[in-house]
Amino acid sequence: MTFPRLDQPVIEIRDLRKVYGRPPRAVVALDGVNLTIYRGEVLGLLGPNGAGKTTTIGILTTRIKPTSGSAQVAGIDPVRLPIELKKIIAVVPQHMNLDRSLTAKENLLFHAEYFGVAQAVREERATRLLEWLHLSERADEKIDHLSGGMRQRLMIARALMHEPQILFLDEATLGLDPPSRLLIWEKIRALRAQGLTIILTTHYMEEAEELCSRVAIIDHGRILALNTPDELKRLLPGGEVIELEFRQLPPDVLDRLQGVEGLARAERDASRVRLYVGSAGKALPRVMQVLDRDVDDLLHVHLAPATLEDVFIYLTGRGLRE
Amino acid sequence: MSWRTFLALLHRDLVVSVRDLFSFLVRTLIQPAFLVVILGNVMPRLGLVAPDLTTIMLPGMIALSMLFAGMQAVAMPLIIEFGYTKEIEDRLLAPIGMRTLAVEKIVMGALQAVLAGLAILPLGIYLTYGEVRLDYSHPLILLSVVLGIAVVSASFGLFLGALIEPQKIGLMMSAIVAPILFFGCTYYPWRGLEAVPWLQKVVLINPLVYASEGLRAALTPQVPHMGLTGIYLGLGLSMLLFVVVGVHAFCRRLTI
Repeated sequence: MTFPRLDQPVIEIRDLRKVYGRPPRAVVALDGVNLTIYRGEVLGLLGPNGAGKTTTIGILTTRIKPTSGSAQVAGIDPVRLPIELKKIIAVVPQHMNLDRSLTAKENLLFHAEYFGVAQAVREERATRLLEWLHLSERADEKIDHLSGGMRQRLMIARALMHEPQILFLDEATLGLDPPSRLLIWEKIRALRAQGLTIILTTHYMEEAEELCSRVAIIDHGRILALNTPDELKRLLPGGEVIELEFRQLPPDVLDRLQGVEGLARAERDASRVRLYVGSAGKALPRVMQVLDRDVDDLLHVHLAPATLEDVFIYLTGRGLRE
Repeated sequence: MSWRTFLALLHRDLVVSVRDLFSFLVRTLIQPAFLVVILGNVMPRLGLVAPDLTTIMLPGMIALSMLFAGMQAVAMPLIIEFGYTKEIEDRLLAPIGMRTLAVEKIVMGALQAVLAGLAILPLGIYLTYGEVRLDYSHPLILLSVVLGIAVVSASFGLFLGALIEPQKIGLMMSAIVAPILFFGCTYYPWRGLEAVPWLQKVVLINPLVYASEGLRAALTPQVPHMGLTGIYLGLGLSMLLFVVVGVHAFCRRLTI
């Protein structure tokens, strides 16, 4: 993976807060977010539902008014000059919002017309983007006749019709089947290679690891960590994880595991134990020895290099899909 | 840039409405056509109503059809977009302000209201029993009243579209639409209400009254009608009120 040079800030977010509703039913969606995003990078906002990802994107794309704090996107304040900003950004939203009264191709053509793209140019671009996203054969069909994956690809094509400088993808692959997801990943990589600045939200770890040059882990409206996926994994004490799942968790299991070689940290929940270790292979024999008399209760043993999910669990104490 | 975007959005809406023209005409014309046949043709033949009713009724029918066509053209898609499809979110990412987008909706609804008026006119002339005496010698009054009705209907639709939840469409039809329809001086002239003085005053809150009376003043001036000052004042105030509250409700609904 090539990393963009982090020297041209394109988005700067300072102390951003967003509170929905009024007390006593106010909900704090963003609780003081600070973030700088550089030209040409693919920044992932990773967090569970309700973490504040969509609110952040909503503010940066002019749709949501912040309660306090500031944001600058390509030097433009989204609150003060929303129309100027909308010209240079594009959004692929979480919810399908294609124009159901139009065909696939017309969706692209009219979108470009809204942005003042000349007719010959929009025809050429629509044809090229439909081809690029494997939609040419369905160009003249209404939206209701397209599958979920096709609609998602069409929304990406639509977003590119006015050649934005910054692309926002809000859960771009949510609910898609694996082939559709892989195709979208491939296209996002291609856009990254062209130097487009991309901000994407996801709660799929693999997606963040695969696509992003940097990942911001966000929870309860705050950014808990921000770095490259590899650097984030170094936050974990020990580089690998052993996960043990029990039918019934032995009560003193954590105490007994304390002596395992290279153990940096151990956690448990109702049925599982997670051990952060330097090397899973080296630690495992000792772990099994300690657990000798509980082997009948052991359901699964899972060894893995640390993933972003482990980092997330380490930082928040809970899983992404809880 | 905003102007170009405005025209592009209008272009989109025109393309979609032209495709939808058949169902628009059916929706707009079926009910008035049957009313014209029954009230304007069958009942006069049976001697149950005076033959004059046709002439009295026609401007009211045109006003009514225009008001509902423009209102529905704006309100129905908006209710669906706000409630289910969220398509409006896409239009909002076009480089255009919320208010300009609201004005675009009003312009589009107003065009459809005018179209509805034009489509009803021949029905009124050809489906009725006996002669309808229409007077085309006041084109300026006709034009200004038609434009006024068109804007009132579309902005009223914008207001309802921003306010009503999809599951309350039925309630809207019976609680808002029905009273406007029956107390709108469509089948009877406002002057005729002198026989029921309190009702004559109460109906003045209904914008359809000014629409019907306005078209009477323009098309059938021989029928006693409200004075032009009252008509323009009523239409003007309704227009101002609904444009302001409609645009406000629309922007409010979209502000997060």
